[in-house]
Amino acid sequence: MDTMLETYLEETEELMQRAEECVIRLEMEYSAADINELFRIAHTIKGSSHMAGFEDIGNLMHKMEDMLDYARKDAIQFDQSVVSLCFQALDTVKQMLGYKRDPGTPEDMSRLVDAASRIDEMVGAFIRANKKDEKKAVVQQPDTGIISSLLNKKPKGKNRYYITFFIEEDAPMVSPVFMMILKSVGDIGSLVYSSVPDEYFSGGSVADGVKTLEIILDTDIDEVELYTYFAINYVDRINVVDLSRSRLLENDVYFNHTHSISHVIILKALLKLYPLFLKASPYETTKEALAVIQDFQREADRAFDRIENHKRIDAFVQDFNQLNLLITKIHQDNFGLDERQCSNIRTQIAKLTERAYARIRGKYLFTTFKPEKDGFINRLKTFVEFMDKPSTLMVFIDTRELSIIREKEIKELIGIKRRLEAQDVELAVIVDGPYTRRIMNIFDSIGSLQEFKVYGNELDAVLAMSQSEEFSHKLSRVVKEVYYE
Amino acid sequence: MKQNGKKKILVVDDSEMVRNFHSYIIKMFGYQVGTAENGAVALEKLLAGDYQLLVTDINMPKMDGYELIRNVQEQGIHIPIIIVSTEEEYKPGCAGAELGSGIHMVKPTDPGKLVATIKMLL
Repeated sequence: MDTMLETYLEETEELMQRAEECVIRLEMEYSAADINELFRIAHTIKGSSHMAGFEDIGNLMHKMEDMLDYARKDAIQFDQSVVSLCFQALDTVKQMLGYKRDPGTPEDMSRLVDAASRIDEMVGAFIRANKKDEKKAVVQQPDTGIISSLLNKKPKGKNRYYITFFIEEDAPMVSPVFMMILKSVGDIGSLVYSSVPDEYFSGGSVADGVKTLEIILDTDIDEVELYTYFAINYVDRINVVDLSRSRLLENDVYFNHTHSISHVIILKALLKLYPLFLKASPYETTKEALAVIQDFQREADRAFDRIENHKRIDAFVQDFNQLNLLITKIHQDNFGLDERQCSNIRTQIAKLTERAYARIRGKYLFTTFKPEKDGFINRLKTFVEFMDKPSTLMVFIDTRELSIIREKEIKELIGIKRRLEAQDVELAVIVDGPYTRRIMNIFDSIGSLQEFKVYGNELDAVLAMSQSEEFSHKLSRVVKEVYYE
Repeated sequence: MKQNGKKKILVVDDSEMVRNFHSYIIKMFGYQVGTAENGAVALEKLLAGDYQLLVTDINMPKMDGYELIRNVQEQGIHIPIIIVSTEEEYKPGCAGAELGSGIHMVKPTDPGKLVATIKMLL
């Protein structure tokens, strides 16, 4: 049973005990204080029951609360019928609580539902018959379920994803996490399928033990952007399968915090290594280089240790170790490298960097936003709002789908860039595709107003940045925060 | 994991269940959360700690939400306030409502709305 439910049951049982004592006292003697206390208890139970998804209990307590409210305002006479209705309501709620704790047969439940609606009707009739003024009781309209309201939206979007969310084993409560995921779904696209129905949230039955949510989502946004919208704590893993592709990839996108963090460390290590081999040839081993390399090996070892399932990344580990060996050998034997050998090592590091980068892109440190012709800025604003800034270093705007950027859009983009910079997140532009020259010119022409870093692709950008001292400090800080939280 | 700049939010409600529920939703987005079971405890915590936002119930023993808000203002604590209560508890024009410093949300809380409001305020 999840701890949230446990808290609810304990708290409600205690309140029920106090409520019963109140009614017992009221049966003997009228007391405004006891009526108020009973009203407050009913009110509290109503609120928390709705929140726990136990509408049956919440509704019944609401009815009792209404009746007590009329009684304490003297709109109805407080007499034995009120006491008796309170007793019946409390008794039914007590049985319902028992049922939540230890589910009985469906017949038990339907008997309780019958009892509840009978009491509900009786209280309603009692209020109508005895009410002194014409004040109308508030009628609550049942909401349409969250799932059906999402499913009722027209499917829209050029990409279709099958996404599975795995919730952490020790998450105290699962349904609010699902609710937040579905909220994001509503924000970015439309729901085509959901593995949990509306009833899951209305809590008629405590469908406990559900730790995964599977959905099919139609959306215009790219896979790399998805993670920003679903970065919710207590979500342990996210598996995304792009259904718009004709076939599945061998290693379909799989996001797990621990794995990603390890790749963040490996990427950081590679980026520290890369500049060493950019120096003028012939390459000579130095003490500083040796320190960087030892650091690199230590960090990489630690990161690989954290990855539980080595199989998934075996090829990567192998290639990584090969490079590691080569570099160690160069330094142990202290032999110099000519430019060709240097460039060879650079290529190897770049290739590994690309692979490590592909595993964290969109999840940590680096994220990419792909504007479309229409509504580019508004969509970017939402994206940035969702983004977890402290764990993000760089947002790339990949302009390949754009043929032009309007003046108004540029102005907004500058504003967004400055706001992000104030939060220590950099915004750079990737220019590629048929309109490369035109887009480049646009960014060139506004250079005096606001400089934008422009790169041909993300890997070039990442490697270029690895040479800046400021960037490497930032990288270390963010890695520390993400790693040692 | 979301970090959200390590901003700290105080959640006040006399029901432990509601406190936990609100805390849980807020923690999903990486904010830090402190809790209090009534206005008096809340005020103490607000004076002692560096909270950036207050989420409070109205109907509570000892010190209710309105009194808490009044105290917060008198003490010169300038933080945004979200009032989460049932519809009946919040009546425009009733004691405290004129303080006008809070955004009101109706229980049972819609998690999406709560988080969107927090993001807007912080």
